[in-house]
Amino acid sequence: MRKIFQVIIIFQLLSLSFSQDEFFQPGYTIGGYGEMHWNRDFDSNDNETKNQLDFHRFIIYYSYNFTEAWSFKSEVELEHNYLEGGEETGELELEQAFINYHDDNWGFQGGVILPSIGLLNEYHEPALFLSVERPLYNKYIIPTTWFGNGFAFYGEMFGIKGRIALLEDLNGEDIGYGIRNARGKGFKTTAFNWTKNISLSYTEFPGMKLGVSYTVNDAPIDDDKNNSVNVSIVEMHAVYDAHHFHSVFEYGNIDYDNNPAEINSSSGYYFDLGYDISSHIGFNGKLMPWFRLSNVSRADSIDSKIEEISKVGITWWPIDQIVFKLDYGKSNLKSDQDNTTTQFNLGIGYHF
Amino acid sequence: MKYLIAIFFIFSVVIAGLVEETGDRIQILMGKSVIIEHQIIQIPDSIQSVISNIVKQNFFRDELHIWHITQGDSLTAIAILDNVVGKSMPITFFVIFTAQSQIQHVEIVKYRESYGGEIKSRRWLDQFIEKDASSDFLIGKDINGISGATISANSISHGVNKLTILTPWLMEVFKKMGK
Repeated sequence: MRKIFQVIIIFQLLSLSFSQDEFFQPGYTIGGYGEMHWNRDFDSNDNETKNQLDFHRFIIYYSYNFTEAWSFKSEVELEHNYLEGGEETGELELEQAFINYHDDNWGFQGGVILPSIGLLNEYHEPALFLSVERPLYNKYIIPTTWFGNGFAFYGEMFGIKGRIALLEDLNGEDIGYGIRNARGKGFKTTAFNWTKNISLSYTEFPGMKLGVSYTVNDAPIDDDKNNSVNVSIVEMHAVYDAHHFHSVFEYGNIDYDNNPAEINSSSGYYFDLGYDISSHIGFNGKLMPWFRLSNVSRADSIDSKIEEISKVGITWWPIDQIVFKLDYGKSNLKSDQDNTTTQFNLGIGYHF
Repeated sequence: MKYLIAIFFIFSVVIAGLVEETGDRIQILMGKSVIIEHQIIQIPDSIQSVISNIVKQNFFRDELHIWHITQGDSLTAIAILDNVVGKSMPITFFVIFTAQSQIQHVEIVKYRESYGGEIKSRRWLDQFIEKDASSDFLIGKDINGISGATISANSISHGVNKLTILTPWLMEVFKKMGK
């Protein structure tokens, strides 16, 4: 009996050492994405107010798979192609750098991670959204890309995917008409209150995704944990991408308590609808005319901070990793309905 | 004797990898009345090159695990186990083709990434059924996409497309082998 027990132990140890399957091999992967934009803006008198050709983003993705379960993943981003110091002359950011443990239906991440908030924060390659620039909603309501130091646990059950992330505090002194400038970006941040981010998504119907998230933080002002701005964000999103249609809806609301800008809330939405006409005209890849309706209210109580945007565009994916975009839009501030800004954008993007 | 039984039992557990699991799964899907025979087939470089150029995805390895499925004397289906690379990890999957080289079933055997696991959905994979070498496989056009799983969905779609083009060639190989 003792010998049988010894044999069992030996083979259990052997099975552990061979637990990698025959197709996995440790090693690294490199990927990336990038996008170049040409932006032209005109005021209501047709005067050109902006003419900018910009290689907006260049991202290198690097990961190393130690075992099937343990891996390291990272993304480094260079914005605006040139770096001198400060956002005005480009940015170099470590947007992701985390250790990932992944089992079949659950996992853990620790390091520089992304909160699961909105459609584009985690998945923002240019081929995944229609317009040349990311929607304004994803700049002022959900500041994409939002990244920071922290931990996350995720899992999936009955087709519902859930994730809980704990991240660094926001910088309370930089909260104002939104939280964009308050992101700590992993730079010597505090963790007095931790930013709590909880999300759920459902994708069991082919082509459809439904998601919600809730994020809350008492953001310390000047690193003083006894003087903070309470921020809570609720957002929901839906995507339908089937039968040649592509439709997206995102809505989000931020409530503040003790905001230095003395506002109580920001909110916004956008709705995109496009139709792939390529098969009707014998075009290679996908060719999609589309339109967008959007409202972005950086401060719900101040008309000069509320912007209405409408856009039309056409997007062409010759292959799924490359995209060409053209869009034309008009925007108005609620406080100045007669003054319309016209935007014309042209873009090219890729990912691999 | 007791030791030998124990060793045999435990060793069989240790070596039962994804290939063996796939064989068992194919037997369950096709029923007990069929005979399945596993073999590893080398794909010549010339064939790989032509298919890779059409699909724009390289083969994961030079050889593939194939199951030849017969009922009585006639070939009813073949199954192929293959891998594609997702964002950074291999995704292991198998496809069952009818004797007419049409897709009968697609299944993910192992998904190793933290993102994009939605492609395991039965409903999503069933979209490939009845496609053949003449079909298109573009995500968002011919196959409905999955937001948040775009890279994995594209990889699997290309992978299935690749095997769909390969299958008529495999059928010819089996014919020449007298199967």
